[in-house]
Amino acid sequence: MRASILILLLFISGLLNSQNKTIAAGEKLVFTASYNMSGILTDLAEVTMQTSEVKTSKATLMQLKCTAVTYSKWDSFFKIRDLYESYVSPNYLTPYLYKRDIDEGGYYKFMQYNFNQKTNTVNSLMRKKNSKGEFWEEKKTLTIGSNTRDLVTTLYQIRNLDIGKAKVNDTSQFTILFDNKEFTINVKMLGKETISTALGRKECFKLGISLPKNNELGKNTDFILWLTADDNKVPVYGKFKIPVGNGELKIKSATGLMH
Amino acid sequence: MRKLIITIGYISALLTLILAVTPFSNIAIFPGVLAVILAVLIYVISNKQSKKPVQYILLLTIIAAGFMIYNTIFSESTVGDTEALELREEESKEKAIEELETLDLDFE
Repeated sequence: MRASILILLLFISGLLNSQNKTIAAGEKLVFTASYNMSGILTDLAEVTMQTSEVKTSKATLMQLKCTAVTYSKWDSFFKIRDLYESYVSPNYLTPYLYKRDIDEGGYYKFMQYNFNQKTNTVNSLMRKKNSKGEFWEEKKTLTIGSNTRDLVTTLYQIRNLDIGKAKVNDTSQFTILFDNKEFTINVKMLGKETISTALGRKECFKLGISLPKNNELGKNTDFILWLTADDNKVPVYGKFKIPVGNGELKIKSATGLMH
Repeated sequence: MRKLIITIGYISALLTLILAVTPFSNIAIFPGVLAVILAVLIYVISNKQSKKPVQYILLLTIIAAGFMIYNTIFSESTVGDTEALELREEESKEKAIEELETLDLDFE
């Protein structure tokens, strides 16, 4: 029993620290996010996932950037301008800096994590706006697990999994730091499916992503993600279920892929 | 009873029209269908009474349907003003590079 647990832990740790063979700088994926309104899917926002190279005087990092922008017809009802960024090592996708800058219908929140991979600590900064429109800040130092990553890095690390070798019902675990709290998600291989996308008909890996019941996004949160069954493992389609409804994410375009 | 059905019919038809001209035009189909059903019901139970409400409810629903069809065919989903977001992205990247300069990056 102990041996099998050890092998499982080594397997998971191996997956998390595996070399990046999927994500290249200059990649841009554009999605349409739709929400199910009384059984009818309505396009709400455009989600963009983009990577680029960032150079400092000491090193070259990769910026993983995700933005969510509501379509203009919704701006007068509920305007979303969200920005998520993570600065990672290009070879192993290890995060060093994470930023979340969200503006959703007047609700503003900024989170920043400075990861120290040697001491497994994170310097966290949270900035919010109070009812008077004034900003206030909260700084914390958090101790995290050695495999804890931010949300954006985790999305890219899922793509970097060696899914081709996975069997149906194989599961990998990822620990995510979100709102200063760590939680673990399970990524389960559900099988292969061929689906029609804006990129053509694609054979895909179908992955089920389940979150713990007491997660920050609320109870009954589940995602199903379709990644192309090729070396790029492009997320072409996603279905999500959140406490206030469900929706889907469909790819519009994919450029700058590694393979 | 007839008056109640006529009132609900008018409310449904108006709601259909209001929803049809907003981004919620997709869900205008629900009050629209209800308005048509109620219009038929009013026609059936009216006998020799005035059938004007049926005409008005159907007219409102047809106008709403026109807007819904127009929105479905011609309105494209385009992102709004992203200048402020692009500025935030640039500022954030500049600040991030400053932050990263202070870190001891030993992965290369």
